[in-house]
Amino acid sequence: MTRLLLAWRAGDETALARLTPLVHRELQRIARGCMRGERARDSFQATALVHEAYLRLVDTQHVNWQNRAHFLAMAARLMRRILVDFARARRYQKRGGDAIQVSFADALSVPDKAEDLVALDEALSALAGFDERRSRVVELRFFGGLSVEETAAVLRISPETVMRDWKLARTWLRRELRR
Amino acid sequence: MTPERWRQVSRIYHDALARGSGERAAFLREACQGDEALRRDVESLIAQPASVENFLGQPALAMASTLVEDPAGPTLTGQTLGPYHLLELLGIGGMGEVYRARDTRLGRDVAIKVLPRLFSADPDRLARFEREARLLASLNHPHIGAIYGVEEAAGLNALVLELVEGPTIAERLRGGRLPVAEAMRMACQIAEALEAAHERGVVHRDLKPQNVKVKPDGTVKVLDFGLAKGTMAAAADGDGSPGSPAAIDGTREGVILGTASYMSPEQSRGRAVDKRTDIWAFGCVFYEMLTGRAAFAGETLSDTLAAVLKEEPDWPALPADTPPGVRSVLRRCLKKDPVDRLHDIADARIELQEAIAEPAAATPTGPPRGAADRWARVIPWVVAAGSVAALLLVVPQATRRSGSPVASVTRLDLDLPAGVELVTVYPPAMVLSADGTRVAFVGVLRGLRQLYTRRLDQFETVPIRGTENANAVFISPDGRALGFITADLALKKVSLADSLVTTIGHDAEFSAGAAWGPDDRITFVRAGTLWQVPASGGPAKQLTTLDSGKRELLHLWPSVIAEGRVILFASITGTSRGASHIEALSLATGQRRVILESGTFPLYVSTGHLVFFHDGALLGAPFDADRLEVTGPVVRVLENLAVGTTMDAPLAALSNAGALMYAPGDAGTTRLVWVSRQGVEQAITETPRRYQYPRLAPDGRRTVVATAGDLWIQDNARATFTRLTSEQTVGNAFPVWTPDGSRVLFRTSNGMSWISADGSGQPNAIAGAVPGDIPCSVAPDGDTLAFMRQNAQTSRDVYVLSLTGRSGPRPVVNTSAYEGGPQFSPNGHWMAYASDESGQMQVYVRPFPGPDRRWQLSSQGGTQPLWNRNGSEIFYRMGNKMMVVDVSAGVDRLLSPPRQLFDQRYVFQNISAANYDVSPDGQRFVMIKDEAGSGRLNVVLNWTEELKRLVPAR
Repeated sequence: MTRLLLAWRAGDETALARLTPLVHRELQRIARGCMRGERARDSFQATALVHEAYLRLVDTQHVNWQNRAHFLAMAARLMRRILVDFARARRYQKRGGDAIQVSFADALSVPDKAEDLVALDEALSALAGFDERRSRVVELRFFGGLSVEETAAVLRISPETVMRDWKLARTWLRRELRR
Repeated sequence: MTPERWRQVSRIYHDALARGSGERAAFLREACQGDEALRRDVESLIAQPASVENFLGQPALAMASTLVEDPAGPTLTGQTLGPYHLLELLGIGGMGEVYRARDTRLGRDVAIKVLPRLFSADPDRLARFEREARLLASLNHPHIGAIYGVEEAAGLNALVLELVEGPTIAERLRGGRLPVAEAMRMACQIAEALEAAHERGVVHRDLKPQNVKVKPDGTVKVLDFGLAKGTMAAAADGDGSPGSPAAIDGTREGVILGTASYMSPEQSRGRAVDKRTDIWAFGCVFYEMLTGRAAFAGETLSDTLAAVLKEEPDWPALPADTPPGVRSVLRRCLKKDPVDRLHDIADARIELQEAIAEPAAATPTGPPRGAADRWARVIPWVVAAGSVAALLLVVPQATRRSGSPVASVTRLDLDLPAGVELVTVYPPAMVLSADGTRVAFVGVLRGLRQLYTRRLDQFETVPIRGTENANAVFISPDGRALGFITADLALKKVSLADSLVTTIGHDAEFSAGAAWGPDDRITFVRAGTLWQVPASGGPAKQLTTLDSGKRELLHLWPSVIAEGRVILFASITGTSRGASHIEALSLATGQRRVILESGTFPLYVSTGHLVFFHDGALLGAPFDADRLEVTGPVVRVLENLAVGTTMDAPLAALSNAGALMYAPGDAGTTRLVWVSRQGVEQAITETPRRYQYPRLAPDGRRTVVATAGDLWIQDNARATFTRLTSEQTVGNAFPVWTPDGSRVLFRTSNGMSWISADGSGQPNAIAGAVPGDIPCSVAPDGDTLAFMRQNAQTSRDVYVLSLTGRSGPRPVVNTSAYEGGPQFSPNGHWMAYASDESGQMQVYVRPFPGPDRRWQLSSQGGTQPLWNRNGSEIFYRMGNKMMVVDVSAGVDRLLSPPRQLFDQRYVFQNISAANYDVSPDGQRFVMIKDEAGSGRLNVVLNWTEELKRLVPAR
């Protein structure tokens, strides 16, 4: 694993391709652990898990900050895919495949149903259609659990911009999802 | 939304937020420079509540565990089940999750299907399932995905299956059709698999391209054999004789969403499934392999279903090099009537083997088109036994399946699940969704009345939780929710997606109809007039008042047209049948206008017709919805409909998509029978009618019974049957004898009346009675009548009044619970009744007139109490069971618990007033036995085509 990461840092794109399924499996394991309720639902714990995955996968001394950020970005995207796939499967199983209406409860701050997550994913993809950067902010922060600083590093923007992006994106998403 | 536009939006949004809230509006107007859409866009973003701060506040992983609602089961990947190590979730099917797993003993990979928890918890289901699995395991065929075994561990049950690598036929077909030779080879293997299974009495029931895998070496494996639940039960229970038809399990568990495209005609009708169903599906799959297209498909569900029932597949689409023998096999597999269909898959297999063995020498052209083809497109008409409607026998020629919408009349009969009766008492008892894909009706099973529903592409009719005690049903315009009215007059709705029940209002009359308009307001009847309430809840508004000058008694059967601007309804002006006319109410002006002088139950059809009920039949007339006028002659369009037993309205429903549903005329017909305490039956009446509330005279020589709104007396010795209430009134029911046998009291549409038992004279109204009162029992003093009265606050209550008018009505038991069915003891000192104060209907007894104490007699539920004439026993019913309690030592000192006399199904219907009677010697009961007809509903898709033909609209 470490060799692959080093090769990647050295610019080997194919190494990245070979790395992705490994990361994928690792993240799946984490995600399933979370779904089984094995870990606390504390938000700090959650992001720590992703970092833990990173640490488990690599010898930290050999990877610099930029690649780490890149890794985290990839992890966020993978995590999004893992969770949404799972949510889709759950939704199908519950609903028998029928299309359903999505609703966010007013008091809800976090989607807590499979349907909501799928709808969020779709809205996020729609947002990426005309604002890639803000969509990535949401992906990194919500699915990847990255902090504002980490997000800023990945996207090479200032933390203040991250904050404003985060707010606008969330406002737009919330409006779209409540329609 | 384009990136440029979005940049504008976000820039203005941030600038607006930078300003104080007072300045924002002005700033927005200026910044948007007249672009109203832009301004609204930004404004709606700004208007999002502050709680958006918390939105997505926690990372997704933090709530990952809440994605899973079943506490038992997030995915089990990584866990161990017996000797199997679960490696990866492969997919989720209707029956559970499927994992790839490693058999640690044998070192091979298998597929493990973990059954849903619900499934595992029921020992009966589990035992049956294990029997099924064992039978399947014995199949052992090279083309059947093998079952290795059943595993149970850690509270979970799972099937261990052969793991088959490779794509399914469905996936292969994504690239287009298969070459004929390859398709034949694969079809032959499928046929072999089916043959082996049928020989052992196993039916697949859900064969489709998604269920058949093709291994890299070309071998075909049919999966999920017989795992579609229910079919196997009969085969396993019986002798497993091949081809024995199996009944569909009517329970709710494991409802399977069948893809309508592969469902056989008899399956879509809810009929029993047997090996010929597999043969049909085989034909569909084979056809699809050869042509790359489904044999039956439509744009909508209705179209697909109609295609299955009515259309022939596009035969010319078969490739030119398809051998003629194969074409013939396909045709015979896809015969709509299972009687005409290929009976044995072995015949298909033999034909295929021969075709494969022969060199490619197929005739280059398909069969000649001509009369034979046209004939092939005419549907073999399946006529349900006992049904009529002669006009439906006309079969217009089918349109060729070339993408044009199906427009001809198709009939479909739905069998109700075992044990469920259609409630025939109060229309509206059934509904069809506007697009014709769903039906719902009020059914009663073992005394419990609730809503049942079925999507026309699913196999089963299922009860809807939370709709208990529903008496009437109607549907929302989008078909996503049902409205219903319960016995306590509550107006409720249930959303079909999640079974969420909400109460909208109260005091809605369930016997009068309701309608859900496209403006999302529900029109219903309260205290005899029309009211309206928003479906989302809120205050109700009265729409009409009764004009006493015109002698109006009731407004009924609202029907919404013109997008909610106009409401059609029936206005009743007298108690004689037929004293009803149809009016239209314009909501904007509040004005009413008579449309038809006689008629009831108006239904508007978007084809420009008004359909209504009169004199036992459905009639239609062309109708201009804008001018609110009938524009042509009235024509009878459907005869012999079942009619509600106490309301003069048909058991029928029409959807805007043009489908008609009705209960055939013999629905609800019954016979009277004697039943001894041991359950031995003896017929009393030969003619089936809709009997209700039989009551033996005190001397036992006569029986009074209600039927179709009138009372009749039967002389038991001479078996004569004469009408007692001579006036053509509606709603006469619930007869009660006076102790001296000289008079019969009964419920009328105005309240209560009595009539002399010899039929002489006119009925006399009972003073103090109001509409809705139901008489139950007269005390030995001949003066005190115990009856049931409905109250808004206290549901049903028990009252008494003096027949001679010495005292007015006064309550005996009037808590907020439902109390009813009061019966005086032969000495008049006690009263038995039923109440649901405990949460379940139970039978109680209390001293009369007081003190206010009571004793519970039934232990596990019961209703409809009756005394034995010697006063020593009380009978009551619990579902199909007739129970007796010995009270000879006094009601407060029961010597023994209730005993069961017999357990047989007889009509139950009204909840607490006894729908039976006991003979004077206490040895026999008069029970109502229903005829078979109440188990069926007729659905006619696209009935409006027939309507247009019969009633030309100008």
